[in-house]
Amino acid sequence: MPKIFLTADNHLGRRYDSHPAREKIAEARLFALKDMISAANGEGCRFFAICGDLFDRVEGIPKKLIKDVCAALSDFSGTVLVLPGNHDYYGEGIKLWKDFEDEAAPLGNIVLLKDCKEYRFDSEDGEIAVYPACCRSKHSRENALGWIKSLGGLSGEGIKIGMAHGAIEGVSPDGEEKYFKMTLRELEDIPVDLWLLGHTHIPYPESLSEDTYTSGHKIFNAGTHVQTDLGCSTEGFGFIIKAEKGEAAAKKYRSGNLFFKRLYIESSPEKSLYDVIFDEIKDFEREKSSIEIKLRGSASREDYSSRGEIYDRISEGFMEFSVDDGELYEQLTERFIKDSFAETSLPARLLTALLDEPAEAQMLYELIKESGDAR
Amino acid sequence: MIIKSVESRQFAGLRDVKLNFGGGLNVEYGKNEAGKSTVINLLYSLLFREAALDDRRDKDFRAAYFPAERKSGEKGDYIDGRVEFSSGGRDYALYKRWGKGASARCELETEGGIISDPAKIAEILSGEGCLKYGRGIFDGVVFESQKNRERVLKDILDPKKSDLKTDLSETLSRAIDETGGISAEKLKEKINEKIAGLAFRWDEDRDRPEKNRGIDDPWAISAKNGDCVLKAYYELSALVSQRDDVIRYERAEEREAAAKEAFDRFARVYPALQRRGAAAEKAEALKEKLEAYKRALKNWSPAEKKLSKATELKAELDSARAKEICLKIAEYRKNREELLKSASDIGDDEIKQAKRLEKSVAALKGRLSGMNVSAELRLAEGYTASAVSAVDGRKLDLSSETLNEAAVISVDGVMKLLLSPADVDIRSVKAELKRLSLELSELLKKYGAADSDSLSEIYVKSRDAKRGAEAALSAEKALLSGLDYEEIERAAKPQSRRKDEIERELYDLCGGRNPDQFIGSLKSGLEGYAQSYGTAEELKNLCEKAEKELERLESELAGLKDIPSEYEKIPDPEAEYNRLNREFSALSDELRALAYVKDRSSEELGEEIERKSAAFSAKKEELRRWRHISAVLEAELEKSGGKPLAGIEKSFGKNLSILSEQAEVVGFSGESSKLYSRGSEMSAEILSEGTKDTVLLAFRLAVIDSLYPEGGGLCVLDDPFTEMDKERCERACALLKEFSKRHQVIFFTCDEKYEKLLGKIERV
Repeated sequence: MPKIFLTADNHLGRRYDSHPAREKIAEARLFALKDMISAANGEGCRFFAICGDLFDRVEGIPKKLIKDVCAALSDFSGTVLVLPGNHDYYGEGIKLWKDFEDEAAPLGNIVLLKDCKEYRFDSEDGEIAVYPACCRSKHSRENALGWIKSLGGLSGEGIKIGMAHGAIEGVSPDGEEKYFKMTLRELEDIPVDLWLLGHTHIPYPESLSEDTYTSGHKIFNAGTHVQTDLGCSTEGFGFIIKAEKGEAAAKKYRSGNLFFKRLYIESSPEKSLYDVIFDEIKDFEREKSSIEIKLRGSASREDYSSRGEIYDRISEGFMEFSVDDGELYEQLTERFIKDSFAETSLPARLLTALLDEPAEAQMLYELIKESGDAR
Repeated sequence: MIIKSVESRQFAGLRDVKLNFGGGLNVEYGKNEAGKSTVINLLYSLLFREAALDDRRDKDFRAAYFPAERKSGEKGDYIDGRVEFSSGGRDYALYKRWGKGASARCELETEGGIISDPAKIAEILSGEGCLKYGRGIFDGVVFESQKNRERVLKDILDPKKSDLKTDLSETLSRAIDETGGISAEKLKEKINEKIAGLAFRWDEDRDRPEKNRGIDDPWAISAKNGDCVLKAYYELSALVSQRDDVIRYERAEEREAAAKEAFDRFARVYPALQRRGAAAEKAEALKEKLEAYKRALKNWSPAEKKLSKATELKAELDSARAKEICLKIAEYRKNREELLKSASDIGDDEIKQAKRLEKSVAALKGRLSGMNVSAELRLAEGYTASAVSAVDGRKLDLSSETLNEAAVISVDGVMKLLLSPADVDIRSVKAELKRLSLELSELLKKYGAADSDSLSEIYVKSRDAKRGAEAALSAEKALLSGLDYEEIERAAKPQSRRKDEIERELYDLCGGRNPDQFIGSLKSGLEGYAQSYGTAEELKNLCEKAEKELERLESELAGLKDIPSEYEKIPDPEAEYNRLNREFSALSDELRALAYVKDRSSEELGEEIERKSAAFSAKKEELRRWRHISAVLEAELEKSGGKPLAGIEKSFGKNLSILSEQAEVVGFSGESSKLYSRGSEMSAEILSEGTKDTVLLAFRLAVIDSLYPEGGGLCVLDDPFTEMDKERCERACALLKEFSKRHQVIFFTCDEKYEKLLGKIERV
């Protein structure tokens, strides 16, 4: 039975302007694509199906990237099926696809599924028909399945595969109904053997294993191949699907090679600041991780004054590491205030009055220190 | 301030001495006569005594500290010293060599260089925290001396306001709030600066920029205010606006694509629509023309026939009418003639005259009448009488017993008696009456009337006859209606049938319409046809041509049937084409205007917006916090504003309570202060030495704490606990150690026990 490697929502060309390691991120995403191609070859897949949003958008994708992507895809030993999604939608005048086709044409193994028609392919297991529902705009209240439904019964004996890109009711959020919404029922009613979908960034079904094939599903959405940002809660997967007439079996392939994490860490002087942070991040693969930490609470004087160094030490090796310690305060105690200021002095009285507001006590203390040092 | 070292080549008994100190507690141990007090004095002198000595002012100083006579060798002739200290983060070294005139030297080494101008040196030092409170405070507080002990103690406890307390009060009014590095005013200023910087052009009540000036009309933000809420707001707003633009761009893109598709679809059909429109219009117009042609063609000949017939009948009718008119006129004329004949010339004035005459006659008669005589006539036998009216000669009845008019009674052969009213001249009246009657009679006779009434009747009849004649004349004229009778007469020809028959036929032909109008409209219609088409034959040709052309157009229209149904009903294809084109162009323009965001995604911006939003909230929170801090500061300043010495009193009391449970000072901050020991009031004179030491220590530490609340103060002690018992001494040392965490303490002693008590000792 033919095997298909399914991926989608790769969003290559996304800029990550606010990320210092934007180039590494871009590189990692492309590298992950190559990795999946490699895995697909290793599995002997007949097709490498990209169900939409291969590119992040239709405008401003560098030609070099298009070239690199096509070069990567050309390494696949079978046929690459590229379905335009809602971010990289197809249109006659769209330069992205024109450049893509220009690059892909000589390579010979890449098919851009831009037309509403049946695409037939040969395989060792007979003819395979692909019915693509490609996107021609970024938003649409209607999905693109209409032309396939209008065919009624689908001819041919071989395996029939539907490919579509859009929100799945009950699976992916589409409150405004503008993302080519489809229902599971709608998909099941169309007489194909298998549905390959894209748009939802998290895998569906969720229950697939990485080691063994799972049967009983007909509709597959692999999700994005690499976590796209903090809002994306998948680690990045592809699916390897064994297709048969009337049934399919699939397993996950872990393709994600970088991770975005935001951590909320509560600090207290009882534990060193370094340890408090380290405990939260110790299991991360540093070179693949972009970490955003929101620190709150209090730290000892020593830790607080040397927190910059602590962050530098602890962040070593991470692809990106940022700390928002706007709500971290130096522990100011009555004892400390007593030791630092005369009891009846204004600073002592003020700081004592603000002990219940550690942030403000900290702010005032720093102002006093700063003004004293400035002398 | 931290004294780092003090040295001297020669000062009193000191020779080449250098002592080093650190921050916190410095315990300097030296045996008696080692020069501990001298070092204290050296330090004090370096800080406060001018290098240039005055003979009178500095007499005691010279005597005390200049080298004394020696048993052997020359005595020295100068004294000097050098103190290194740091203050406010800067290092200084002050060197003084005391002497008169040129032998005096004073140099201050600063990080910038060496200064020798005494005034400048004094200025710099007085500006530094350590010395800014003046010598007086140092005398009694920083540096203890035996001499000052009693004075200070008295000052603390004197019920009258002492100079010390006054000085302290004034100093502490400032210094109680001094932070050592920043004054209360400065602190307030700094906080307000923070607030002003953060709140720059921000309307906190409305939570938006002042005057609602958003990113379309932003306030300029200088570098000074670069850390403000407004900037965070603008940054966030800019991103939100960008994201909105991205969404608008995406929507505009979709709409543009749809508009382009709609336009392109229509554009493909438009030429056909145009042709069809033109052809349909032409055909429509041609149809109308053709109908008109056919109508004209159909109506032409009948119209001509009708016109001819109508004209003929009209002429016949006119003739009959003319005849009728002539007969009528003849009748009118005859009638008129008769009426005129019967009319008389009697005028209205004759009627009036007749009536007037009648009235006059009646009046005359009346004059003659109006009698009411009652008489009874008795005639002798054989006589007869008769009576006649004197008015009109009428016979009167004598049987009546009453006479109402003038009468002549005649008795035949006897008499004639004229009876008349007394005042009437019957003769003249009768003459007048006769005359008038005659006139009347002639008048009546003229017209054959019996009286004036019948005369009136004649008049009326005559008048009516005349009117009748006039009416007949008017009728005649009306009948002629301005036409000439002779003409009508000429027009009146003999008719073979009756007028009403002709009329009927004519009106039937005209369909009930007025014949003249009917004939007129036929004529004008036929003239119209002739004008428009020439002849009927020519019209026929036109018809054939039009039919052929119409056929051709319809055939062309049939060929344009392949137009989508959605465009079938468009009334104005050109307008629709332009509308679609405009719509597409407008959307393209909108896209161009938003092109700057075309390669941004709303998802990416979403992350950035989240960060900026958090930063904006954090800035607002920071502002809120500074405002709270400011409020707390104000409250604290208000609390401390009235009583500058209250803080010292509190510290003083606290220190005393640590040192001695028995001693208590009350009312220090007020007008008086009292010391109690074991509940009994004590005066300075009766205090034990130990208690004096206790009180002084407690006081000095309290003052220094108050003057230098942030630390950095200095306290120099010369074996201050000698009179204290062991326990008190231990408590004092504990207090001092605590104190030294914040201030520098230089503790000179000759007792090694302090190594244990204070935890350190330097043997000098």
